[in-house]
Amino acid sequence: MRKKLAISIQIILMLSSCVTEDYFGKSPYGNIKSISVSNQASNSIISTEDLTVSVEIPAGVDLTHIAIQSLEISTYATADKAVGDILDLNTPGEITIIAENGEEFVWQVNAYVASATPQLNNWDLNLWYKTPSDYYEPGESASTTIWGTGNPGTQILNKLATIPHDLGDGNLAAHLETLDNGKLAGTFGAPISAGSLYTGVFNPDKLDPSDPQAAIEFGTPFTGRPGQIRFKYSYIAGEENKDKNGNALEYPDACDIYAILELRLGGSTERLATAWFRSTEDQAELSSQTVDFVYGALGDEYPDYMKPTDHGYVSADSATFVLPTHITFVASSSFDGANFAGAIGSTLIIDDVEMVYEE
Amino acid sequence: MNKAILLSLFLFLSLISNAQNKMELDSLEDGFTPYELLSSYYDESFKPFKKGKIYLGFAFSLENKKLENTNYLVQQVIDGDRSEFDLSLKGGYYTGDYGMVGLNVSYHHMQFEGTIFRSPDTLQSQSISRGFEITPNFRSSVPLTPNERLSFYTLIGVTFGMDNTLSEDLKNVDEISRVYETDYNLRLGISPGITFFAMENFAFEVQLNLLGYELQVHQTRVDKMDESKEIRQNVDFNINILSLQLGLAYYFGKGTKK
Repeated sequence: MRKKLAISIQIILMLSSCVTEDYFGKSPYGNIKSISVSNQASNSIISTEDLTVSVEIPAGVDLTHIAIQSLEISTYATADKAVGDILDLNTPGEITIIAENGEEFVWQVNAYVASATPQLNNWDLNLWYKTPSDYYEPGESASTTIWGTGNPGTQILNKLATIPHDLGDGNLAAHLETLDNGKLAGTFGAPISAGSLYTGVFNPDKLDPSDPQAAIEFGTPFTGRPGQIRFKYSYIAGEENKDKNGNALEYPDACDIYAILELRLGGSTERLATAWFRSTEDQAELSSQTVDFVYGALGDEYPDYMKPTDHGYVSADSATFVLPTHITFVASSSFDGANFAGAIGSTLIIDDVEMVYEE
Repeated sequence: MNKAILLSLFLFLSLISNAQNKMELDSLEDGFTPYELLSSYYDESFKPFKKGKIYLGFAFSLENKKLENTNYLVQQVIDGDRSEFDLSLKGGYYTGDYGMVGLNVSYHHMQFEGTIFRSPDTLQSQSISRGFEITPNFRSSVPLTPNERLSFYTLIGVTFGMDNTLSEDLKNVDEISRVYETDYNLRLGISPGITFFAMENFAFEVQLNLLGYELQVHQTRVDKMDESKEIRQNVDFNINILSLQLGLAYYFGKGTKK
């Protein structure tokens, strides 16, 4: 009798103490979180309310043969389509997402014709959203923005080198300033944080304190062929330009503002066009600056820093007519900030980043 | 939850104070002080470790925490509720004078639900942990006083335990991170202790793990994959104050008192 009682107690305990992996229930989510397709002209617009995805495809592209290039869905969900699968977007394409709990969600993918003269989303830099860490980033929201800054990497040091700047009447700009990270960060080889603004994504999983650019995935879909880039800027260089070891440099700090058009196909990247502005001169008042895009390879008359280091150019023939797939725009208050070189206090204010097309 | 704890505590204290008042009144009527009454009980052939005696021990703890904007090292609990309880039952039978065969069973449960900020994300977090331990054991007692009120014992036992922990964090509407951990524990150990009879057959017990061999298997699954396994074996022969166990026991059976 006692034995039976003891055994019963043990069995009850073992059964009641088990927590299964699905104790809190299976995930009911079946969302598409991000998707990109071939020939896309801008970021996809995803509506979780209507279960629709809108993709902008340039005129003249064969809609029957659009390949999925990236697809991110809810955790534990599965999709009936994968990267590399082909969609026929002459009619709305369908992607079925099955949530962990078995519920099915049928998503529609709609294509619409891209503008021949596109601008960057939030080109006027008037939209800034608040992050969970209580600072602001450019864009309407984290999920839709094409803009990134170095703040996700520097906010752990309580440094925000890129902040919104109010020009009045609801007109906002970006304020980029090279900041002193303090002695402790300096001993680890990161004495400064240069203000930066770029098109692309900051990936915290690739965060490397010794290499600020390691976590940045530059570029956003873009299919225009602008002749020039125009922006408003003001710049004051800091007094002492130093390298990462604190040694004074013989040349002054400079701001860097550039845009690069690229062709990214089949895993390879080719440079299509370059527009680059680097200036050491102080510009106290906000003024308009226009820079020409140079299509094709850059000759010896251009400085090396403008040239690609890990890929080549499109062919000379293609450079005259081909559309890009991506644009990378970068602005920085210290041109060599990626190597922790710069002058503390260098301040760049930038606004209204506009693509200029020939009439 | 908190109300239930307070109510239980109030009832428990009421019962103790009532019993104490009654005892004081009775003893005064009989012409004995409470101390004399309690001490004389053990001088009249008190034999708690005699063959045939039954031993029962019980311990439990219950905790409920409401957290608001509480900072921890790597995260901040914005709003959370954490409840935890431990339950321990001990039983035994004296198969011979001063020798007991026993079984200790313990069970614990912890649950948390709340909103936490773990830079750079705000997470809806929930976790649950449940586990049990079963220890068949043999215990031999050595009285330190003639009336056996204070005694030293040595417990040799084999512990088998199992514990499951599930943590789930939700961020950005539908990004879920699940960590599922399973622990198995086997321990062969010798634990010395002291028993002191405070009031009649109620005894306070203090026990310390002294010598033991322990095998621990820890399995982790993250997001239903990335399974990791850690097997740890240790032999310890040291006095670890952290292993100190305090408890309350009751001895009963025919002839506890002749």
